[in-house]
Amino acid sequence: MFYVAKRFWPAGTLLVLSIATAICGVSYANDASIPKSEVKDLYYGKGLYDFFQADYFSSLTQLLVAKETGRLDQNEDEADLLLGGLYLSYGMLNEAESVFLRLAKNMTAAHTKNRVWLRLAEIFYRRGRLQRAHEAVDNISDNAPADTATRKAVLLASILIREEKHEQAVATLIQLKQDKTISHFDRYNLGVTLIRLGRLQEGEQFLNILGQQHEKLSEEVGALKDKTNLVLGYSALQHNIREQAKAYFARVKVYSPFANQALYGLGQALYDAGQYEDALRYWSELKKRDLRGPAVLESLIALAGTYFQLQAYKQSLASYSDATAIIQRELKEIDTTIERIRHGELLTRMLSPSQANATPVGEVESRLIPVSLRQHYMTQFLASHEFAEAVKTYNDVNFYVEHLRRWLSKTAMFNDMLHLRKQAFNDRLPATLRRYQSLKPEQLDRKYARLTDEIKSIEKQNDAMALATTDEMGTLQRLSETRHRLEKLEHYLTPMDHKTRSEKYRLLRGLLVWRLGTDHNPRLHGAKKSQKELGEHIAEATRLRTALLSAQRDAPATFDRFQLRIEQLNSRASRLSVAVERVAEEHKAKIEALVIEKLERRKARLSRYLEQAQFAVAQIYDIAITPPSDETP
Amino acid sequence: MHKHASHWYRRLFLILAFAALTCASSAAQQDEDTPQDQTKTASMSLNDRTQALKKEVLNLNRDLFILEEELLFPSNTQVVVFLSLDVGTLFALDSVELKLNDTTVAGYLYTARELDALRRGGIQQLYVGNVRSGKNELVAFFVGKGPHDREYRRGTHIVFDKTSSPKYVELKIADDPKSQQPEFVVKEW
Repeated sequence: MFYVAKRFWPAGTLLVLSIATAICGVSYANDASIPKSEVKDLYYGKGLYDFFQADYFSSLTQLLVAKETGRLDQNEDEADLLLGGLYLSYGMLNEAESVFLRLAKNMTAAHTKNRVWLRLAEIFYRRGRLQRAHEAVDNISDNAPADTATRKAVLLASILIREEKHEQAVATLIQLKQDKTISHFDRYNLGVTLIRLGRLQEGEQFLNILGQQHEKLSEEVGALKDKTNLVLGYSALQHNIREQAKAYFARVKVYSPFANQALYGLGQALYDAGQYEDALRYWSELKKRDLRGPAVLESLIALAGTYFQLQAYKQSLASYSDATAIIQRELKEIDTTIERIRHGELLTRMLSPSQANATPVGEVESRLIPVSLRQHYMTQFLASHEFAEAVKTYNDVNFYVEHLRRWLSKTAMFNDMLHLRKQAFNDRLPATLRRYQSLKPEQLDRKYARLTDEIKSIEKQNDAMALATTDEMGTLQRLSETRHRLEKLEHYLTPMDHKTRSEKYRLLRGLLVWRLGTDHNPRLHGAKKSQKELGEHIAEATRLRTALLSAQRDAPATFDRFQLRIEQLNSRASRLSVAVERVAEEHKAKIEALVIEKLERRKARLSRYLEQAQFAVAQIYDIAITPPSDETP
Repeated sequence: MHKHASHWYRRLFLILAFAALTCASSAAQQDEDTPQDQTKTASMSLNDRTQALKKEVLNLNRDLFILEEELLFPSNTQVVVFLSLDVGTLFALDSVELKLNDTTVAGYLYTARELDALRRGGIQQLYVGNVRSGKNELVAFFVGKGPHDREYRRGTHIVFDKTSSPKYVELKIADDPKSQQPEFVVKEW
């Protein structure tokens, strides 16, 4: 019954692809790699502000601008650490590597250094440079914090597996068995890896911890738990531990996305035990479910095969006919879907410019996957790391296309702005120059020096009269004239009258002199203060005059430099815009080819099923028309 | 039947085996022995080209950003106001209003996400603009919930001297553990 034997291939494939997603869905920008150090540079803090809001492109831009303009004095290493992580998120491994290598060389804080080496090890591993990856892992301290130590062990095991040093890999993995800091996804992957390496018991122990989780789980972890039980179930089936397999499958929730595979597995366990009728019960249950579910089509063929096994040819024929009809419909729909993809429907629907900026490498949201593709067992592939990476890059590149378009329109605006500024400068310059040209700094300086000397002299001679106000000077003048007049009138006035008037003069003058004397110190202080302010005003006026003169001299060149920069940047943006659009098209074609290739494989598989079903139907007809042997003469 | 069943279990686990611990191996190995190998080789160069383009775009973006800043906010008139939170448990910020020389230049209402970014050490660039050189007055009003969940509105001000260098002012909301009250600090950089 070859048709039963091959039936679970698609579901298995999906399972594995989703594992890859779980493994690779590490967001380099969003983990705990941000050092918890004091933010001392405003612009590093600004980069962090964007980063914490998942606005990675702005964060990256802010950090690059801050570095270029020398605004990172104290947090430069931390900024580089963040920058390196962001480069990794954007798939810029070369940049990330050079940033982390520099940090590894320069950083002294052990905690941060461990993280840097971990990042480097990941980069080297991703690039297949295993020796360098090994060296980087060796540089991570044995006393590293728990989360770093776990990542170190996981990475080391991965390297050892790639180096085919399986025993060492197993030894490394087993150490992690009771590790409480290990993530559910890592636990899942490590368990699967152990099983793959033939360490069934240890692998199952690893996975069982996850498979038996009872507390309230998030939707994501709940799905992972179901998937874990599915893996455990099929692992047990492979080793003919059927009762155990059934127990694992029974743990999968009825409405889980993996329920169909679990039901299928339950049927398989019963089938393998020769309990065909019980197996039929489960597979018949599957038949009632969505016919496009991953395991349902396989179950239809399995069902037909089992009926055949039980010599229930009528039911077997009916099941094969159902399966044939479904397969033919599927094949037609796949053709339509391929056609739609070729007309660009896939990426038009999935492209999300706002996401491109904010989302680091990760899963593609299932809601963005066109319905026409969701039905073809493609969901898991479309959510796989491989596909997510491709779509992420495509989204990034498209985001750049839009971003460059915006800059191109802005550079046109910069040009207008510069033109207006140039015009305003030329319009205002003559009048301003006239105003400032009358300003003679040398004369001002001389006058200021004279004033300074005068104040010094007043202070030295304690000359209160010199600080009299204009009114007081006027009064003094009037008093002096009065004295002259009194002297002239002495012979015309009675002695008594002259004496009274002279006394009045003396009193008034004395009053004024007394006021000037007692007020001398505050007046001197005021004079000095005014002198200082005057000095500042003269300095400011001189500075403005100098600035104006240098502006008059330099402004045309500055305008020209700005003009040149705008032109050069505009030209760079135009050139890049074309290149990025071309690359975007290439990525689009690549993604479409990837999906079409998967659909073609699915089509080939369905065609094989169809042939098998048609062959089985022919067999049934043969049996039907062949007379029983005991009736043969 | 069993023979066939074992066969497909083996194949299933062969596939499972590709679920190695990191993406590079899984991505690479899944494609092994598939017709995609040639595409993969070609896509490597596409990836390299994409990486180089990304770098160019980022550098261009940086240069354009600097140009824009220099054009719009020359350093001799530039003033930038930042806002940060230090701990921030005694004051839940709702909004900020900023007045520069008696003119309202910024008003900001915070989302939970922005507050979270501030609490985690991010610093917001609240305002960037131009002022004349010399003395300038900056007044900030903070509105939010203070201790005991009470409506809280506080103002703070600073007179700063603008020179030919860019002026950076940081408004920092901190907790004063002694008085159990929030404090609003203005720092000139």
